[in-house]
Amino acid sequence: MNDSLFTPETPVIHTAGLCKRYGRKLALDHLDLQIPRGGVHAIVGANGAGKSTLFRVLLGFLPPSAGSATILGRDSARLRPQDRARIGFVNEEHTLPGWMTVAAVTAMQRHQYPGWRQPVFDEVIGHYHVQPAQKVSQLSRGERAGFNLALALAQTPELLVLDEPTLGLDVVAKRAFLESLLYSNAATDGRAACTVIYCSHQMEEIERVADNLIILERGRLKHMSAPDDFRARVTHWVADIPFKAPDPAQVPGLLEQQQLDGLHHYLVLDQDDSFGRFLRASGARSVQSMPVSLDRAVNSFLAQHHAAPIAA
Amino acid sequence: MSRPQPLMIQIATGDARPIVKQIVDAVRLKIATGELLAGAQLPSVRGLAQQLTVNPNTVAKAYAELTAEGWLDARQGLGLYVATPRQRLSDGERERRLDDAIQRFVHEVAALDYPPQHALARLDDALRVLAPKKLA
Amino acid sequence: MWDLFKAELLRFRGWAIGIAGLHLLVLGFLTRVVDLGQQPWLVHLAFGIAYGAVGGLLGLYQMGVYRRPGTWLNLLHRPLAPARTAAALLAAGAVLLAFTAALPVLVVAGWQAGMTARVVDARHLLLALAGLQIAGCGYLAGAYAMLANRRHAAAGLVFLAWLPAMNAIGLAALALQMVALLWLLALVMLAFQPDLGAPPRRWGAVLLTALPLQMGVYLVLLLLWFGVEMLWIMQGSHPNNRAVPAPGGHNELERLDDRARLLAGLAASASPDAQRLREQVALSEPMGIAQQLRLLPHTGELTNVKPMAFDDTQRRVRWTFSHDSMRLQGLSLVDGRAAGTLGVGAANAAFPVPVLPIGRQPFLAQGDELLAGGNTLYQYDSLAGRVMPRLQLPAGELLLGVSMLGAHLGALSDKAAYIIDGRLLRNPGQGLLQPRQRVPLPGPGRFGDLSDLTLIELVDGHLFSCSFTRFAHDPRGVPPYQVLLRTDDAGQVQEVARRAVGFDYPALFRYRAWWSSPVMSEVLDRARALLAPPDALRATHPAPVPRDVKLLAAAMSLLAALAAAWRVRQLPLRWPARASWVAACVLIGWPALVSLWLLVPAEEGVDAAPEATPRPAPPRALVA
Repeated sequence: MNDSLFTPETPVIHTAGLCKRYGRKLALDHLDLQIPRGGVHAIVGANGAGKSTLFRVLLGFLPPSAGSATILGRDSARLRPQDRARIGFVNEEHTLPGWMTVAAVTAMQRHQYPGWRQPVFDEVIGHYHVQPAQKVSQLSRGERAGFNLALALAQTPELLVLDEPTLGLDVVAKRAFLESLLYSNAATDGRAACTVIYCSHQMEEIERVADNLIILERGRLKHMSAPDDFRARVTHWVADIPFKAPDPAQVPGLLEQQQLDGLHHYLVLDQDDSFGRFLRASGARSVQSMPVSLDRAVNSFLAQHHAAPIAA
Repeated sequence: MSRPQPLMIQIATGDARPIVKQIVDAVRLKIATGELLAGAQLPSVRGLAQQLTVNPNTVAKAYAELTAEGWLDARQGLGLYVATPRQRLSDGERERRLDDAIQRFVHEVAALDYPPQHALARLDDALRVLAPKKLA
Repeated sequence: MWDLFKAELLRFRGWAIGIAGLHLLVLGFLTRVVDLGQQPWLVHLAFGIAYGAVGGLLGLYQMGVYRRPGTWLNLLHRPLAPARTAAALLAAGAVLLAFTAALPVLVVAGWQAGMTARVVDARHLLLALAGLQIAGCGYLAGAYAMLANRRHAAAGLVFLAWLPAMNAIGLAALALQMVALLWLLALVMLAFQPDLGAPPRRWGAVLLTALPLQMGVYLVLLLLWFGVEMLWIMQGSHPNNRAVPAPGGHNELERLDDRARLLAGLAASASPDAQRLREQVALSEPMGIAQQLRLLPHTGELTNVKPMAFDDTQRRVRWTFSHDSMRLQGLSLVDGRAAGTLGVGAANAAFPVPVLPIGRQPFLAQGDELLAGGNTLYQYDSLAGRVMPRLQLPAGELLLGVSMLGAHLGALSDKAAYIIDGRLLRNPGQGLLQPRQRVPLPGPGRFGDLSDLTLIELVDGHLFSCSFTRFAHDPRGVPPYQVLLRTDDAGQVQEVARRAVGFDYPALFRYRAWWSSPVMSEVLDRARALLAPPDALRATHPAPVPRDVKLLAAAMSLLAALAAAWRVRQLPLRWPARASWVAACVLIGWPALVSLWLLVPAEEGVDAAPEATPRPAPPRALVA
């Protein structure tokens, strides 16, 4: 398998029927995912959706139970050192050796990665107050996240995977992180554009940075499109229904239903004006709809399968 | 004419409006109220993206929409400039859009339980900002 | 790679300096109190366990920190081959162990060689290397335990068990330690993959992992048998613990007192003199020949059978044997300075083999000492300041002990017993003593089988009773028997009685280690005896394996093979691999079956894909 097969059209990540079983539970359930080159892709999913498992399998640190996974056109189980040089990975538990100094870790990265660019590193690390002589274990969480990001960005990877990198960071650190990310994602300098894959629960960040929104749930791919396209699929309907409301199982595309102050609120997926007619047919006196914000749309989409108390 | 004008707009995440729409609306409002004069240069895509801390593609989409609607002119190699104002939409389209905007306003305000006079007074104040600058 | 190596050294430098300092202190204290070069095997075992433990802790801790998923990913997701990363970490471990285990030994040995007059041979300096290799084996076994799949992570312990069990000495022992080290290194490198905990796939890797694993399973099996024996003892019917041993068995024979033993042997005699001999047994005092040498010293061995030194109380000199010069080195007990070298005879020739002091006998003058080495008995003459050979047995025999038999001197070798006339003992300058009587040990049993040698003096000669029951409980022993020999003044030896003694343990119990896996039992014995000098003291004449036991072993192998044939169907293996596993079970038996179960996990089954668009479950409804 030579690199000439990896053209700009080859997806950076391609899984086919990928499964990973832990005991009785399927962390990845016949996942078919293709992430194209370029841009920022956000992967969203509740805890247990399989994101961390997916990356471990893609980087070759876990064998799949079934199916295949390729990254940058190469089989995940057979990554060579030169392939790993092109993939950067930043994880919130991406534990650097705590006993090494910042300078020692930086020197090690500089020696190991052929694509190391010191100006990029200096620019990113400049946002954080990190002294070269400090031990990694002495850095705060935000400083460690920034250090990790600086190390990853300075490698000039073709694919940068960020798995919840801002978890536990304060507001200032988060802001600095996003700025560094956007800055170097925009900085191409004639090289091949870096593809960024960004896992997060923070809708606010995703709304800002993502070109592509990927929703995983329980190890399956539920949705992949531009964020605004997804948000446009979800609408919020408010209806005043004096008598018995329609049975939730009969409501088409229902994601979430609430009854507030006597009014029925419905969050529905892929419904157009015919839903209004449905509500009137079900006895609604007045019907209104409006669009929703992205995080509301995603949350309701993910929450639809979660266990919930039975309505009285 | 030669230096980009600062673009004093904000965007909010978690809003019902997409970020692209927020940028487009904000720029349109600035142009409509005269804060941005015709011929003023807008910030670069990358610059505005960094200012707002959003994806540059989002800014590029907003600029593309504004250019397509005629609010901005793209000058080769120089950047984006505010276009000279002229009527961009047909009368029917303008009426439809006005209806849409009124509908949205009414829906938003309906739940607030203010007397209509109060809302009208506030609307009057807000629109006063637009009045002197609008040209036929 | 260098960065990682340096970082690991820095990481542990505090601990390394502390432990090296502690090691140095302990050795420094001990060397003031005793001569560390003359310590017996048990002391070396204790130090070896300490080195192995320190190495093991380092391996467990170093790899234990790295094996956590996030840290492992950080370590191996680099443009560096995993083997090079492993090399950096392991090299750092090796340097740390060299600094803490080997360097203090060298320092103290150097001090002892330079600042004292004690004997420091090359073999003592090699102890540093042995310590390093033992610590290294512990280190790699600990690292493997952390990195390998839980199911076979303990396989490294087999090598740690081999280290004290091997009979090889000197350079051969060091070479075997290196073999263990290299094998463990191969195992660790095989386990050092991004996909941590993946079982070995290629047949070479499977072979390297399976063999120690199978030996480990076999050793666990032996432990279980030991447990069974403990239960038998608790239950009370174990032959060793019965109040009254079974009549005619070897237990009974061993528990008899000397006279009763002679009488028991005579009971089976067909000789016409039997009655007369019985009367003499009642009248004479039974005697035995002491065996001062229970273990033999070898040139160049790293440990010692016992301290190779004795003191001349008249001249106040301590004489220690040096392997490098093959002579005795003197150390003045008065002022601690060197007091000369002593060899054999007036020419101070080198001793052909190492000699050990075997204590004093009544006929010696004050300050004299007896030394034994090879087939020769030497006497250290304090007055003359010389060592003279006194008794020389035929070539190939090993002198094992002497003691007084009344007025005469008795000597024991691994092939015969000797009686030397007491009147010849007084004058050391008379040349070699010639034994008056040589009594060869009656076959077919060899010296390892001999459990008892008792004799009484008759009017005309001696009556010997030889019992061969030492390994009657073990497959390696000769079927137990007792022989009575009689010597007369003319030097003739005559067999008076021979009787077979019964086995107290049933054959299936005696051979339990063998039929559990004949191949593994053989491998275990050979691994212990590899490159070792032949041990004449434990040489036996084993009986052939009984047919019943062979049938049982074959049945066990067959069962294991059948179970393996059933098991390999469920495994994702190609047919050559399947055939090899079944063949291994036929050959090796249950250890191979258990290793198959541990090494090749069943496939993680995954159901077929569900329908393409599953209907969403009824969504939740919240009621305010």
